[in-house]
Amino acid sequence: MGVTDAVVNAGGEVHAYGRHGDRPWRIGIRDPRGPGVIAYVDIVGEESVVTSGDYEHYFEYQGRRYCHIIDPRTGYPAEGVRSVTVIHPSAGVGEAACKAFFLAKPKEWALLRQHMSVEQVMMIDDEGVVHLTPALAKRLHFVLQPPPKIVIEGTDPVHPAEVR
Amino acid sequence: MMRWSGAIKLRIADAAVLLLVLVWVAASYAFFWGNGGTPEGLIIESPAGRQEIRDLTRKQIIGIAGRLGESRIEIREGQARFIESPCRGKLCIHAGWLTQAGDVAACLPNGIVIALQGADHRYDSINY
Repeated sequence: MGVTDAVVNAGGEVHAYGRHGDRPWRIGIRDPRGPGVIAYVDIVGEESVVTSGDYEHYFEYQGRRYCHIIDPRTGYPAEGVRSVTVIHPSAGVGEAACKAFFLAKPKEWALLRQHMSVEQVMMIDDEGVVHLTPALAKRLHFVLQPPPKIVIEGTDPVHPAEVR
Repeated sequence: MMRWSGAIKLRIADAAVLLLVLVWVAASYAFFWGNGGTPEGLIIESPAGRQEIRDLTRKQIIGIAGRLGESRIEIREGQARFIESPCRGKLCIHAGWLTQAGDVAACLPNGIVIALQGADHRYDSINY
């Protein structure tokens, strides 16, 4: 169609092409437990920002949240994770990776990243701690106040100010 | 002695005023430039064009003409949703209430897209 610069938002999943005039596209990532944005990323070129969370499709029963992502190992809704965000050139790969990382334990990340060729992942656990791969930590800008606790894969927990 | 005491009181009052100003600035910053998830308008895209509804507090139901027929959109308390549409799958209706700035619902068969617009214009799009 000849469109070189665009952002497509398909129900929350964002795919960006090109740039916004003379600046990058700026994509906010929603806080899974608040009304606003937890962080943003700037995109130049073609990339998708895909998130799977427990906050759009869920119900609560007797104080327990049951989300729409089912763990095939147990047959029950996944627990322990609020959201997973993946940035990848392919929205399809990003979507699949979100679900895999949602169900994986952090110690399984390295294998999963290698297996799915996914380098940029953010997982927010059920205590609000943000887990990041080093590749995403380099380009993610946190805006949430107060800042969340951040753990970068393979390192000690850090303050957001130290991430960039 | 009185003047010294007066000077101390003045300093405490100054500090109180300064503190108030700082709190006010911080609160203003959070309000105007904070996470900003509160919607301030609804954008409706249809085959007839684009329209914006600014008042989301007044309860209303709007009929929008699409390719297949009329879609009905309900607005109230800062939220919006599809309640009727002539499409087959009714995915637009199942999308439910849009509550946060950046939320989008679409009836592709009928060519109608609704999106809540936020006061925070720092982002080109919101991922969720």
